[in-house]
Amino acid sequence: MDINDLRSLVTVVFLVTFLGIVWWAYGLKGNKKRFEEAANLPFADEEVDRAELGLSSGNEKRKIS
Amino acid sequence: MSATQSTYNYKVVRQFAVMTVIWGIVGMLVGVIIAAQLVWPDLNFGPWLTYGRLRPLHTNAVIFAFGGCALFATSYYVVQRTSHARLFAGGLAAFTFWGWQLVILLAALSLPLGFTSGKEYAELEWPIDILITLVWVSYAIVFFGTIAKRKVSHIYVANWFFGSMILTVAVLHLVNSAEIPVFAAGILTPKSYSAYAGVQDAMVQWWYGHNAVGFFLTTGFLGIMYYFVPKQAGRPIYSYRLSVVHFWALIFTYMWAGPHHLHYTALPDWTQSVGMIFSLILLAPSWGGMINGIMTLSGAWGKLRDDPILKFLITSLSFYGMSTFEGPMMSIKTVNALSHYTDWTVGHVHSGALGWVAMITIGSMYYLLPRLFGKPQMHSVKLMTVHFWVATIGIVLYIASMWIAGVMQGLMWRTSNPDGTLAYSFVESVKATYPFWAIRLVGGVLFLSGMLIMAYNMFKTMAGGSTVDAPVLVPAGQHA
Repeated sequence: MDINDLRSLVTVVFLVTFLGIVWWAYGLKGNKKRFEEAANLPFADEEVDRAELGLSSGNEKRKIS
Repeated sequence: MSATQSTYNYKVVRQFAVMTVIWGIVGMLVGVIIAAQLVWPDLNFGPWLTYGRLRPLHTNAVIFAFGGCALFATSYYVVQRTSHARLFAGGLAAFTFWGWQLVILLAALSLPLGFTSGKEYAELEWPIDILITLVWVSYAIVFFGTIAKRKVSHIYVANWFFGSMILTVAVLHLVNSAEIPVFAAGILTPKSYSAYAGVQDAMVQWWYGHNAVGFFLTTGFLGIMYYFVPKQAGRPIYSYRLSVVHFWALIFTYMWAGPHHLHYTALPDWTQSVGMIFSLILLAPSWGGMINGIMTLSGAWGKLRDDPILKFLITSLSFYGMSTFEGPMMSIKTVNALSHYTDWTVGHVHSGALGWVAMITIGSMYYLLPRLFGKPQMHSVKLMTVHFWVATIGIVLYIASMWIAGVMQGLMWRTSNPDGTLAYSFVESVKATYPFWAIRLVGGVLFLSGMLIMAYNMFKTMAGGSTVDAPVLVPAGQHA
């Protein structure tokens, strides 16, 4: 097999892989929940946000100058 | 706080965040100096402080010192918070900070002294290249090690973007810095000879150069966007699916866009066309990111009115959308025939660098700084708003003047007399550009002033010296 056939093949494989990813993201119904879960990850630790802003009343040292 | 309670490693984040502002000022100051040199050539104090030596110092300082510190700070913060795990290998993380600062200092010394390998954005000589490699490998270990010990099942999309940046920059740096290391005259005179020759060398260089834009300055800062925009807006990202698809689209296309830096050169024509086509395709995934960020605010536009952090973040996305539209247009060969080698390119780069990279960095630093120093907010919210407007007006002056100057230069250079001779000599185009270089200088001075306001605000926020390392809390219902 010519090296150029391999080069063409790689391009096709990449394209098919990408289309597979699009299908995985948009086509699969079951994935909706996992994406929602992942999208909410930054909001899973609001207590920590309060702690670092010096607003917590728990065991975090309150420090406002 | 009890001693057994594990905390996040904020120390290294704090160090990188503060240095982001400091190096931002240094790098932009050098930019202002070289802008002034174009207006008043007498400001070239030679040979160390001439334009030719200061220009690479400016680009290295703003990209790798300012941008680099911002990426380290935000990625270390985000990966800890979204993995619910303390940073892996704290000692190595400290090494990335001190190692990176040493790289910056060596660059600041060696470039004015005239040491350069001559490759744009990769000018540093081979001993510094080796140090960069050590720091970067450590960065990868710390980052991916933290992801490996995460307490939640998902890897948040921001970490995908940061991770792709770390991996790709490692590959880019290694391949483009492949060189024969020698000492020209003793141990203090390192010299590098590229492993490639001729047009291959040019292609490797611009494969590196454009992917430095694509992965260091784009996916890295999109990682910042995917955490800080949702957090500051108080709502999850507009479409997580879109983030997955536009991430992979960016990965698959950016690698091929480099040849557009070599239109009408000795590079084979078909390679130039491939570069152009992939640059045009890039518009779609780029705008996917922009739309995803801006639409996160959909239905809550009112927040923009009095939240300067959101102003910075959302404006940066607008500039990102603008420059990723402009870029593909400029990669079209016939447009490039006019724009290449003119100040239009400089304007385009700065609409991306000031508008996108710097603005999103500033926004994320204003988010981070109070949290890292245990304050409810920055010392002065009003000064943040002042900074926003000063910076925005500065960018507009900068890019508008460079657009006009660039198109004018391109048109002057291509105008010919009926007998085929050129209508203008080069120096005539230089003369015609003077007023625009003056306007650009004003824009740059404004942007730098904004950074000085930010530094004042930062030091006021840090005053009192309290530092809080927030506790690591595993969210309910999550398991590794």
